[in-house]
Amino acid sequence: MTLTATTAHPRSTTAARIEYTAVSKKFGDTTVLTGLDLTVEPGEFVALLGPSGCGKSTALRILAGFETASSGTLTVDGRDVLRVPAHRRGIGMVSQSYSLFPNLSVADNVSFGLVVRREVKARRVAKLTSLLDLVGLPGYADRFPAQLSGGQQQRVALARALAIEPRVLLLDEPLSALDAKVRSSLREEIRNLQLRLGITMLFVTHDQDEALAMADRVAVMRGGGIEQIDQPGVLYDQPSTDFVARFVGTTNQLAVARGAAIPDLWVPLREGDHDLLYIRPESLMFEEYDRGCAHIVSHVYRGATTRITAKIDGSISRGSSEIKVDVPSASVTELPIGLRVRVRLTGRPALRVEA
Amino acid sequence: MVQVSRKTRAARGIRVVAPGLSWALIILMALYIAVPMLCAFAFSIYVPTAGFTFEPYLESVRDPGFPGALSLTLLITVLTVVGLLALMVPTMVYLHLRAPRWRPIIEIVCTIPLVVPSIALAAGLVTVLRSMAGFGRGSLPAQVSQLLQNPDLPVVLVGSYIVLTLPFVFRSLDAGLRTIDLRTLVESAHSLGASGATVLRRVILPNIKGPVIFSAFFCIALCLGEFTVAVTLGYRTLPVWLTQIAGSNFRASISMSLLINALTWALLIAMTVLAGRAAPARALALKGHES
Repeated sequence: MTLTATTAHPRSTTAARIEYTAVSKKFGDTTVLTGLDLTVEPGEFVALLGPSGCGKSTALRILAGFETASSGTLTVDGRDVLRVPAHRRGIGMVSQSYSLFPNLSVADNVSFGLVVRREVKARRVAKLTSLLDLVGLPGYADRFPAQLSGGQQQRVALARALAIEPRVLLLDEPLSALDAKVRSSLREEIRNLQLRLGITMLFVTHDQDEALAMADRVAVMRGGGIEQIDQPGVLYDQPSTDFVARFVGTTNQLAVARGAAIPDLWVPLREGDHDLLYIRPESLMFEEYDRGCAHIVSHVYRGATTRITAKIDGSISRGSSEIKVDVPSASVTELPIGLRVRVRLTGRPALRVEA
Repeated sequence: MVQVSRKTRAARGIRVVAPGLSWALIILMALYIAVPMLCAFAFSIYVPTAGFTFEPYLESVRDPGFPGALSLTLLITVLTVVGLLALMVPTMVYLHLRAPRWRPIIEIVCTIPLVVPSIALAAGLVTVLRSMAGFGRGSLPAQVSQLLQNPDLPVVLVGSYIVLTLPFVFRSLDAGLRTIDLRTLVESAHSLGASGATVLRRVILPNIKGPVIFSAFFCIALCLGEFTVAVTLGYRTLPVWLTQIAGSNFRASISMSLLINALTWALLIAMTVLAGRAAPARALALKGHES
């Protein structure tokens, strides 16, 4: 067997460009997608992030060919795919879980797409070997899905989807059924694999950590459309709407007088017109202060940092009634529970909106 | 100490009582099935005037009506099994994938043959076939009626037997399809390039092998033993022929019914073995976990 470096891994030479134009989907009276516009560049990794029911899975399933679109166009490399049946689209798919064929061995699962395409046996065997190496499961060819852990099953599913050298790989919450540790390691592996193969990937998740950690760009979806699509850092630092600010990362909402300059020290605003500042926990600080507006109610240890929550005295009409701040865990003893504090802004707010 | 162990025994309850009781039940059941068959067997091979003999078996096989009845029954059996699976497997898959809301309705429809006596089914069929023939020689309904009743290929019997097996086959396939993650498997196979027929053959069928084999067996058993509809519609299937020769040669009819019974049992055992082989993945998986 002579495997050169280029054939050892099924490098996708034809990473495709995906373009959704005004794609809508209605199930009876409910509209799931409202004119979705989205372009994914060749070789790009885009995550669709949103709460359940936002239409992210439907968007993916329309591209895979498992749902029809009510209106709009969807092209892969400029060619309309909406009328092409799912099995002729050449789009790979990895779904949540239990998608391996339980009656087939790992080898037969991975080779399934190749057998269906009538590839010659020698090529199938060569591909199987290289794919199992690629997903870190050499020597597992003869196992059956029931003998594999959840993480291993997803690796096999990944190898199986890559075997057909898809132009696009779709991942529908592929990690959500796995435990935390496997999830984070597989997350990195998928990202590395994507970079190595240069394949276009569309990834659906409700887990913002996953989306921010893996994707080139994250599309935050809400109510059947895209609220904002940007690189993870931009999404976090410059959310364009309050929904994005609240959905991605943790934010505190602090009310200030309408149009007022951003203060160094924040005091609760009880009346009058106001704006809301969306501020990340790392952009705030608590300072011990006898006449402070809040007192500390809880500590949540998170390793290097500890999240400290303080409750604002009295009732406030707008914004959060509790403020969350991340501090280095070493300095937690300076801010014990019950301590009266004031709130200092150390960084700029992620977003300011008229409330 | 003694009390504690009694309590733990009591907690395990059934396991303590069961061995004796379950064996008694099994023996009782075995006797219930075996005694009549043994009596029939003894009757069939012992003729008071001639002693032990296999003559009744030979007589029954030599009967001029036997080859025709056997070939008709086998033909009907094969067609019914093929027709049943060709109808029900795709239907049930479609029901689970695309039309789950229709499931309760189809379930009720499929259960009807269980509550309608087969004599009522046969009587209804006779009425319909007659009224179709009543349109007059050469008319379309009459031709259809004739086609359905073709004595060499009684389509109407095949159809009736499919209907009669529906209640059991529906439940069996329904349960089988519920145990697998059908949608995910089908979609995965599609995205890998498999067309609908390939998905059915390579993915769905292997994963519901047990229920499919059960359905086929149940259907075979019914086809080999059904009497009411066949006799009412006037076909000489094996059971019908059997009752006919019972009048002239009772001992031969008993020996033949024993043969049919043995054939059915042999099929049951063969099917059970096959169904056991249908789940090699699971068996292997268990072995893997043990080691």
